[in-house]
Amino acid sequence: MKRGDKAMLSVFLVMLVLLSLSHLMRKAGEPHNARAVIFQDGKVIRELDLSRIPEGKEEKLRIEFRGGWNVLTLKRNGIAVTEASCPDHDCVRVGELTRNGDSAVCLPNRLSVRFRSSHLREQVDGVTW
Amino acid sequence: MKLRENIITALFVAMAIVINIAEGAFPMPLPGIKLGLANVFTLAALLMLGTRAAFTVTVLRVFLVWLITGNVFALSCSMTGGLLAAAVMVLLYSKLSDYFSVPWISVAGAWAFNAGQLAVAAVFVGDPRIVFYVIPLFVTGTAAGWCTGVLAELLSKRISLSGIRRD
Repeated sequence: MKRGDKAMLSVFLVMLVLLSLSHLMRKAGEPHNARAVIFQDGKVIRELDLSRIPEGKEEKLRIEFRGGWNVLTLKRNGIAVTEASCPDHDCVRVGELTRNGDSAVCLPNRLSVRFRSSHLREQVDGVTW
Repeated sequence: MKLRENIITALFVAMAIVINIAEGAFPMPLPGIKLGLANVFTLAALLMLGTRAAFTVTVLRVFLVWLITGNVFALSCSMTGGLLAAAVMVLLYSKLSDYFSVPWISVAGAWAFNAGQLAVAAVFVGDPRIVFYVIPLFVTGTAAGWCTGVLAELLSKRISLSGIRRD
């Protein structure tokens, strides 16, 4: 290996450690006081309190943007983008957001959904997100 | 020979388009992550034909894939990322190849691609916090970039052995 190769390898290893750490820290515990923050075009448009939804029930929320739309499914302990008007459906494939800091992003509709639970917030926010 | 160069460039563009679209059919665990196999052809063009061919292959591939798929967001991400990646690889290969071997030049290209892709995504979404996504992108990009680098090196050697390479 040449010198630059080794430098790049060490950068990679540092990133790998950071990634593993952030995963370990995000694993623990059930979400408490679950909330979701919805951003559109860089601004907060909704803040949802998910913990008021009864166990086992779900609600749908449709969000429109310049002719495009996304449908969010809200549950007591999580939120998911379940339908989208765009062709790539990246935000839908992310699945349900259940851990503090999880997020789903829809580029075509400039939408980003961020899941929050107060339980782990202080610890986790300090580390990676 | 000019004609040979043009033909090889065109073949690389054609193969890169097919591979680019085919790999889109594979499900990936996280959005924005892919193998980037089309980069094999950018890098092979750089190794065999030089800077101009590398940029030609990248730009034509991204543009033609957009004409086929019609995905404007993929176009913006791939064009920014692809041009940055090509520029970084050209720079490292032509000026700093004493310090970097081909697979790692490809990794540097992958990182540049990820950075560009993410910058575009941050602009679209308007939420700068999305840049933290750089960590999973770089980790997967390193693995994918290294593999495509090895493939590109192999490809350029095999083709030159079979006598198609310019003299």
